Amino acid sequence: MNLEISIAGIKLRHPLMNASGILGYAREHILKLIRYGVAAIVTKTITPKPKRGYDPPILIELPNGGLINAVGLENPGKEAIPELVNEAKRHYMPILVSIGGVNEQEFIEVASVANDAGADAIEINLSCPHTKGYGIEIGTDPHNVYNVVKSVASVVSIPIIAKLGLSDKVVEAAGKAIEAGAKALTLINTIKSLYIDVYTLKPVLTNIFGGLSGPPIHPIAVRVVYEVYKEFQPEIIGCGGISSWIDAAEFIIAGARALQIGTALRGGSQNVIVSILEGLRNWMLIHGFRDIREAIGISVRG
Amino acid sequence: MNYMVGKYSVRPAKVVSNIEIAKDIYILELEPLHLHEIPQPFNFFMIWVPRVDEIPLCIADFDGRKLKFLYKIRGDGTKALAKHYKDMMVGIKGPLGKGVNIRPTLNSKWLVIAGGIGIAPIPYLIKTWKNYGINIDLLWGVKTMDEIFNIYNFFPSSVGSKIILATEDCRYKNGYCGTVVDALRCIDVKEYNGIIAIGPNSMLKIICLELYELNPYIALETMVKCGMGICGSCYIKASDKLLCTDGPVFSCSEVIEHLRSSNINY
Ligand SMILES: Cc1cc2nc3c(=O)[nH]c(=O)nc-3n(C[C@H](O)[C@H](O)[C@H](O)COP(=O)(O)OP(=O)(O)OC[C@H]3O[C@@H](n4cnc5c(N)ncnc54)[C@H](O)[C@@H]3O)c2cc1C
Ligand SMILES: Cc1cc2nc3c(=O)[nH]c(=O)nc-3n(C[C@H](O)[C@H](O)[C@H](O)COP(=O)(O)O)c2cc1C
Ligand code: FES
Repeated sequence: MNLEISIAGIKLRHPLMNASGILGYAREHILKLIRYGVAAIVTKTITPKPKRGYDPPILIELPNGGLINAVGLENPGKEAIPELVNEAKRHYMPILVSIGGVNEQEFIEVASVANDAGADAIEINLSCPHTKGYGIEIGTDPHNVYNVVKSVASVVSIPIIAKLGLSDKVVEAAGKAIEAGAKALTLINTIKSLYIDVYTLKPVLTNIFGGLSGPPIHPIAVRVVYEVYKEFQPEIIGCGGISSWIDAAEFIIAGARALQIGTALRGGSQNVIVSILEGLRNWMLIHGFRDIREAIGISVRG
Repeated sequence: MNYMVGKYSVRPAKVVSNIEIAKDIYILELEPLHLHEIPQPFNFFMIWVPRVDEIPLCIADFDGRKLKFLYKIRGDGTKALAKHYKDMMVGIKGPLGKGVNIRPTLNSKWLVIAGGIGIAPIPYLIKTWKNYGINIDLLWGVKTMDEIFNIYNFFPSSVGSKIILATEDCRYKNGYCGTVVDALRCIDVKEYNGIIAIGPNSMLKIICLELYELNPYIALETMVKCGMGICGSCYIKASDKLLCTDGPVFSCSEVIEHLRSSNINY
């Protein structure tokens, strides 16, 4: 059974990678992610200058099994990119550098460093829901999406992946990203949300608002992947709430070629990726798929 | 009340007491409305001080229902925590970390070296290991005598453990005069089956370097922001380890590069 896949021209030994923001901004983090068994590393979103991020509480598990976070895009800035890329390369791991910024110029600045450092691809974060100016304000407007992707595409030679968040115009924004030169799309980011503690009667996160991830957003992400696939059949990385092989398989038949896992990696469990892959293999066997590519988007075409 | 939430949720806990027992050192007793699991020695909790901070603290004692913590005032978060009185609510996330994660042999004899507020997790370690028949001698060093409190009084299950004190201001007459490391040099460490040290990084670094061939265990402190292995802030330099999911106790050989490269002094 073949689980190998290529996304934006990058060969992966299987479809699973970490989602941006799960470790991914220090050399040591790369080692940890490799231990988890990912087929590619995605860095934390990197901005031109280092960002300190918010004070704790920054990340809380919810009674419904989701997570809410407002980390505040803490990252070491673009100077750290070469070290991250080198560490991944030392282990023969493909690495996607996630980039963020408040305007086109900032995106270009970080993208050029990633390009020169020899990253395999750039993932443009157009969708962070809780750090003012960095993301969802850009990502919800299809014209902005077009402009950012286009301007980054004009300065780099490595493939670009656009990461979009939930919005009313997400299908249109996806179309614009492809038109502007994105080789693939990552769908979706966290969803703006709020958690208030009923005992102390206060919002828990320091930033008050945060991004929702984990199982509660999975059906929403599957819907977005399905709709975008139906409209454009682009290369899609499905992301949002994967915790078992079933969630992963559902994304694939909705149109995803590759997958990212965030919340399910909490707690440092070493076997999340392994058990999802195992489940996918068994599932392929049941359906007689010899190659995972046979399953991509099958529910949309069917 | 049925409160079905995971270990990384914020769970309500009521302050039972919160008193200063030595200079800037407090003992906090909390009664959680629901406990996720029985904590192990060196597990820690994130204590949420609503709208102020979330602070990692090691478990100092547990009686099956109530959790005790020992903490020292450092900045705004601990200051705000000290202003929480009986019946006020805070939030707790945990137990976090792997805890001690050491399997000592029955009836063995261990030396625990604590610097300053590094004493926090030791009473619960002594209590828990006592049940396995493990005998702990404690070497506790502080800067000034007014940081000392009577461990036997506040944690009666420590009675039976030998406690050796060292003060840097030399005002405590029944102990060593000097740092905990000075005192350690007067002790025959080979007499022990194992060693655990906890305290400032500068102290741990010296202990790891001096006793390297014995490969002692040490409990580290790094910046803990999420406690669940996602944010990455607690990573141990030059390793693939995260303090919040793999620690806080490591063997010196696992963290020596981290200690060498850090010049943090607190
Ligand atoms: C696993 C672990 C267990 C700990 N157990 C205890 C304990 O039992 N008793 C005790 O008194 N202290 C303990 N600490 C240290 C304690 O968490 C800090 O003293 C506290 O967070 C300081 O907060 P503050 O707002 O008062 O000070 P701040 O002014 O915020 O910071 C003062 C200093 O405290 C440290 N610090 C601040 N925030 C954190 C953080 N989130 N994680 C780690 N260090 C931080 C930094 O060195 C900082 O310079 C522990 C730390 C860790 C990592
Ligand atoms: C703590 C945390 C930090 C995140 N940081 C980023 C980030 O820097 N950039 C980004 O594009 N997405 C970030 N995300 C979103 C994830 O990449 C992912 O899109 C989202 O969590 C949904 O996947 P999941 O349900 O598997 O976690 C973050 C998510 C979490 C939980
Ligand atoms: S504190 Fe966030 S990964 Fe350890």
